[in-house]
Amino acid sequence: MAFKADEFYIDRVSAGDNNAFAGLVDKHKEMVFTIVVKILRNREDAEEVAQDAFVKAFNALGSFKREARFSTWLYRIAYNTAISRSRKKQHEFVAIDEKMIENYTTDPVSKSINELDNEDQISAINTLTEKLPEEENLLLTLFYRKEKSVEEISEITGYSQSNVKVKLYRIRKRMYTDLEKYLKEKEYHG
Amino acid sequence: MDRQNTEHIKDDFIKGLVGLSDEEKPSGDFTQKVMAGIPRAVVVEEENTSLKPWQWLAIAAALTGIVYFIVAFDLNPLFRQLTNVSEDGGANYLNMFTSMIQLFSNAFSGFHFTSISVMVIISGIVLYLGDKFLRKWSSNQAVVI
Repeated sequence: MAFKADEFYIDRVSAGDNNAFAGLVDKHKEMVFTIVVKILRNREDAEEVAQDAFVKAFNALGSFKREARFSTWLYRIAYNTAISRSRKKQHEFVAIDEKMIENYTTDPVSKSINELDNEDQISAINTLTEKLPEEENLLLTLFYRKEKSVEEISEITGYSQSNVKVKLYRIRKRMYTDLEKYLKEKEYHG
Repeated sequence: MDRQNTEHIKDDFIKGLVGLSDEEKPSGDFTQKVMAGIPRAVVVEEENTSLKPWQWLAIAAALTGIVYFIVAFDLNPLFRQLTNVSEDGGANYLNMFTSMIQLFSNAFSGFHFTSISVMVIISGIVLYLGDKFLRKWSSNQAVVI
């Protein structure tokens, strides 16, 4: 489906045509849902929170300054709404084992993973991302899957750009460490 | 680690691997559910049927012309004849119409030809302002749900 520029829908909503907001929902729902589901890890909750984020965005549309990108502004609302819900549930984040991460390797791991068939590779990445803390899982998805820039991730999450880079660097190291561990276990269990 | 250097985080292998992971999508009726939480606004758009001032002047000129025609050619006897033709209920309306024409005739009888242009302008202004007033009044009645 071809979408028009965000400004087109925003102008119409500002003129009183609230139904035009559906265009913005259709255009951004997948990204908003991705952000929320990565943090909440529960499809039903994510659906509700993502809807809530859109309604919040609608109600705050009057305060949206067009200097920023609408998508980034909306994703920030989705992120904050999801974090707020996540904290309400008092979910504990898994601490990263820093010592284990320092001893990571890249080449042997990537070589071993490439030797796996596609189904095993998918199984491996799903297992590893499930183990990642929610925010790290989100950063991984935004940067490596959705190809969002460090600048945009910084605007969405509220972390400084340096902080985003440090986190991504650690996530990357952790992925290799966990992959190595996963492959060893797989080898051990045959 | 040089924190400003993005080379440390670029990784095509991780990128490819993450690309393989399951991507969850919202339900098919997601948009409808969101829109259910958003107030619906019925925008009552004002029909752009306003006449321009010169159009009102044209109408005023036509009306004034008709009245002047009736006065100039003294058509009142004709209307009286029409009134006498029918004695049923319709005759009352003709009587009323005749009275109105008589009223206009009396009002215009004092005017000369040069006064007609002034009458046209005054009538045009009255019609234009009346139209503006009615439109403003009706727009205040519009309800936004």
